[in-house]
Amino acid sequence: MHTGKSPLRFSRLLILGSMLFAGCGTANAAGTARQRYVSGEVLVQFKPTLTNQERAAMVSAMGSAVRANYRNRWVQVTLPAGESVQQAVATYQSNSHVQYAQPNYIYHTEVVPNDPDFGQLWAFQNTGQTVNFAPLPDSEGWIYPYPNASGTAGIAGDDMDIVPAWNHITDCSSAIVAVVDTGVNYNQEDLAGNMWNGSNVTYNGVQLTDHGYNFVDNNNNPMDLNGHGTHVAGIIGAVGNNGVGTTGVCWKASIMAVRVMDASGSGTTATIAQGIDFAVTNGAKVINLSLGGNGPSDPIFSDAITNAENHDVVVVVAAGNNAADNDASGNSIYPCDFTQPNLICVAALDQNFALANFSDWGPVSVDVGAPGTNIVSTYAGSNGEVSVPFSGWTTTRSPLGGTGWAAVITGLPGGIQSSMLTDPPNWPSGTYTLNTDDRAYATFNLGGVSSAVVNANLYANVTSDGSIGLAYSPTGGDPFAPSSPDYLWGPYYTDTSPTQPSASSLIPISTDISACITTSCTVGIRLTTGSTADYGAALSSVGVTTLTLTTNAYNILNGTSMATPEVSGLAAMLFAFNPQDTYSDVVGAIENGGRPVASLAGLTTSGNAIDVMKSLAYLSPPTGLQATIQ
Amino acid sequence: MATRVQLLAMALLAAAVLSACGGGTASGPKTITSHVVTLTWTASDQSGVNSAGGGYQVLVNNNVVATIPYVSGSTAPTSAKLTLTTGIYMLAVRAYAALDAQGGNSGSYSAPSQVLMITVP
Repeated sequence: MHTGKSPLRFSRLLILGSMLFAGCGTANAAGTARQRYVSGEVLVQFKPTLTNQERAAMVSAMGSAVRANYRNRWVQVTLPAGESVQQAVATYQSNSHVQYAQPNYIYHTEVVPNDPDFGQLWAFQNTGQTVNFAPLPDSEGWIYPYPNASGTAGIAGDDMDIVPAWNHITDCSSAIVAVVDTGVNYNQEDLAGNMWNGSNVTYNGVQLTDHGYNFVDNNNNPMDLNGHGTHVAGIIGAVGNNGVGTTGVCWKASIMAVRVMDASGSGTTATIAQGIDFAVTNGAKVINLSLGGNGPSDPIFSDAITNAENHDVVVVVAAGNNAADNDASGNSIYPCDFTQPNLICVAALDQNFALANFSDWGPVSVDVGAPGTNIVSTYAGSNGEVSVPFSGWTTTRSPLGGTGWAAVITGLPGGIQSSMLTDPPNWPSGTYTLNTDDRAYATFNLGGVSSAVVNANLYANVTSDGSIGLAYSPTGGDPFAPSSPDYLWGPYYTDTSPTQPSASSLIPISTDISACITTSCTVGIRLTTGSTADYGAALSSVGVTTLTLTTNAYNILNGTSMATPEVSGLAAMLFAFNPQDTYSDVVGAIENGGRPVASLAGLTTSGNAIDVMKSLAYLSPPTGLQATIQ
Repeated sequence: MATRVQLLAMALLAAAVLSACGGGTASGPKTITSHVVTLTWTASDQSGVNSAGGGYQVLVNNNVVATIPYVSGSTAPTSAKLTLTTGIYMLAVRAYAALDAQGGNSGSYSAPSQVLMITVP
């Protein structure tokens, strides 16, 4: 169904509409690869030497019947029952009186899905629209919409060229795509129908029931407690043309949820490598890794990707969001900088097909670009923020008594003055009291939420005879009271000798405290000191970001994380379109079948933005040519 | 038989070109002979090549001299016979399919295969 809202798209459809063949018109239901030509008939152009009567006689002699005669000796021929179009074309083609024979191809209008938010998806059809989707609060500090609060209108046509491809294939479900990420909300209304069915799979002795596996908690529930993985999954395969939400690259898909990162968006070599192995073992053809970390190289991670290569699996990875050259010394980002041939590393493009201002690049390591700004997709639920003013924190000092931590208005010299919790109170100029145990904590009501992440900015200067740490308690009260506190960060020391606070003293902290989802959760900070003076610590911000799972959330995000699943969806589509394809065919079609873009020239291996239709039509050069002279 | 006609025409053309270029040396006249050259290649695994409207084209000295269409079965034919006269030739094959890069059926072609240089005695 085409719901052309913009004048540009409407005019395009009108032109196409005038080319329609009778009976070949409208978009059909989601998920069907269309028949390319009419069964039971062919078109034959005879040579000029034959009359109309002679053509009819020849057709009749071949068991066929003339259905219609057209200009320039073309005849529409109805085939006898049981004869295939391929056989008939070959037979007529070999007849010396025939100039040319071909199937009677079917043409369609360009299919656009009826999902209500399709008009927001500039990556699929850039009409020059301004994306005005209302964002949900985000824990990562992105500014929405991109690149600033007023957003931007892009250049019409700077998109993935996917609409014409949907005339040929919308169902990629034969190629399983593993979203190795923060999990996937498999109950989301626009994803539930496209989740992988792993109910017949047993892993680590556990029967799978929820569409994947959770390597963070080692169980069979890969529910997304962050939102990132669900957004990624929707870009690949939100159910298309169902009148709900958005659509993915693939209208019909098989998405395997592999949870390797926690609610804060952090994972480890162990969880990620296991997740990749799980995906390979259970039949994934494409693995999406919208994640990365600065080097050094990681042999176990690399080995998992090689294992995927050995099983003919394409691995699509994000370039990174540091606005840096990944190939420069010291800038390596993995997995992007791994060199396996089954790996595609993706940079992000904006609505004008310029390199997004956050995107990494790399003429050796980064392969292609794809849309990665103002991307609307499915989301895991609703985000919330819980904070407590520093003036409301409880402070204690032992054994001396009195005050250690204090809520003050201060800042680094020359910096912005703001509300902070500091110890000593005259931070950053003073030094802390020796031989004390100073604590501060506050109660955060986290009742009813699905996940919680502490985000804090801490300046710390503590010598090795002291320590600084943060902890939480789900039962309330002083979180450091238990003999083994639940530390969410630390305890650490930072200095070998007293050091004056500076900007480099800042430590950003983001930790999953979903174990503290109660109405009386307390979060606290503790400074212990010895006999060496140092300048202490200051909390400039502490907040808890929450996620409450729902089944109908959507969100707009920016990042190479969002560009990566555009490519994963395309890879799945190519595998589904050409079931015999190897990973090499798919990688070649994506990288060589792209569209040259000036902003990527010299910054990526291909210089191309992905182009779905061109990749679908891309043909690999024949191989193995041999000649024998007789 | 149109293909055979095309091949014959190309062979004659090649022979004519070679004759024109062959004179003027001190080694005397050469005998021009024809040989059948059998080309084979690995079957594509792409469905567009192995279905109606798809197939391969043979290139001699960068010119298309034969079209080998898909006929039936699981793959398009993967061999071709050429008649070439004495000389040096660059041979290659490219795949084609009906689907084009705009989503229509005007056809698309692969890049040529690796070029094979042969000397026909």
